[in-house]
Amino acid sequence: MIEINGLEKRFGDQVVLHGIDLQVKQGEVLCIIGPSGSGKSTLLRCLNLLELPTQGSIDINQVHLSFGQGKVSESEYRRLRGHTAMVFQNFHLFPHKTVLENVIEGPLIVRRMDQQKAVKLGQRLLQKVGLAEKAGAYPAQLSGGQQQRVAIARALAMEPLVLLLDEPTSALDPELVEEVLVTIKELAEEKQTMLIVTHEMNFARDVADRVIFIDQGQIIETDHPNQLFTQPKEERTKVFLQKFLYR
Amino acid sequence: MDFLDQFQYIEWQKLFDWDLAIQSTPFVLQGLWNTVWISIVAMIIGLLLAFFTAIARMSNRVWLYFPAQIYISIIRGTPLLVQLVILYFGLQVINIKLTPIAAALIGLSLNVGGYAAETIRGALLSVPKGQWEAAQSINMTYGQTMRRIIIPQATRVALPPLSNTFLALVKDTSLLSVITVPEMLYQAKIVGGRELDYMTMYILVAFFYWIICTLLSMAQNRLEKHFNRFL
Repeated sequence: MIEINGLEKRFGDQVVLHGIDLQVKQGEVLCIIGPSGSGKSTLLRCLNLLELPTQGSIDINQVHLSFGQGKVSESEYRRLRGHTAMVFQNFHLFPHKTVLENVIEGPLIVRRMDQQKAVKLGQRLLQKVGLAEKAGAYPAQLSGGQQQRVAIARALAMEPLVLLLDEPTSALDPELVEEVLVTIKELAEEKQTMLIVTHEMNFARDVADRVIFIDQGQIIETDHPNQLFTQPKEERTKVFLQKFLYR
Repeated sequence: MDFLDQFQYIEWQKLFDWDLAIQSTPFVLQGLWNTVWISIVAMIIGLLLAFFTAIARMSNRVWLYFPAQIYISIIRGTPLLVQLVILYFGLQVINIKLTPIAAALIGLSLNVGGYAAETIRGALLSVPKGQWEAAQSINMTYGQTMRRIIIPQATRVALPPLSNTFLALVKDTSLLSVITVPEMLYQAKIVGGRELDYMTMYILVAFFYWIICTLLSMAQNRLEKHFNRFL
């Protein structure tokens, strides 16, 4: 369903992604791990086109975009973006809108759903993330964990083929991490295709169908979590995982 | 001599003549309407000008930000009184004849535009980059993001300084008396000249301006409460 070929991203002279090749099947949950600055977030942001790749191509559900050969039209990348939705490390909820308004903003304004249908969808999604009773609250009145669950509902409201989660629990207090992970796990059980950048190794082991280890802008190793976490093939993967073992 | 005693010898009636003030109030208030509607219209046009100037000023295209910068610099760098006089009397010399009201609206709008542009630019920049990204990630266009996400949040930041601009504008309409717009001060000066008592009239209009500005400050407080409700 998703096919990424030779994806490269440079910032000036600095190459952040070195020709990434990756296929993702429908319903698959991929966890992306790696040291900070390795390019894992950039990869996710490229899929949502928050960063424009400098080379390579992305295919999602028959929308094909090639980069580095002339300008890509606005309508082309809006079409690709329509298949993806992003959950940010720092939530980025709209502070001036209520929880429900946050969730239905996309359906209402971008997908042009009618008000009644959008509200229904919003309420269903809030129920799903366990925050139905907070529909009328403002983001500032919620805990970090609750805000992130609203952000997940907002992303789901776009009914994306693939949900991109960029370190969804990194900004949370330790006691709030669990509720967000549980929500993500439930989505995994429903076979929602997801790419998750995370530092939560136990969570990755639980939830992922495949784990990808990225270092210095390259995919070093990709494998089933049981395999990758217990018997990594590459030296760099071993060194990285060791740092997590002794914590 | 006791300090307080000297006040007995001041002829207060020479400073402020109650009878004249009360008699001439209806005539002065004939100028109130001009003061009010010119302020409101100039503020609205000025804000629109300011918004687009701010956008141009933030652009990285020279042909956009350079003119914006020149405009802001001229408006902020020259006295409003001089701008008005050039617009009204100066343009007549080269046969461009504006009515006093037209010159007033053009001058004041341009003035507000120049000052408020910097306020609005700062307010727009104060909205975190993550808000742009979040809007982008749910596929909103630039226009939708501006209208629904950025402007509502920037308004909260811009409100106090823009209220200042508006109060200054209301008081600056008094300069329009120089280009013969019959606003409050113009009316007051007519009476002052006729009765040879300018001071009473100046104090009287000062009082009226103060009342208007107090009402506006109260409105500002209510607006601020509205825009802070989500905090």
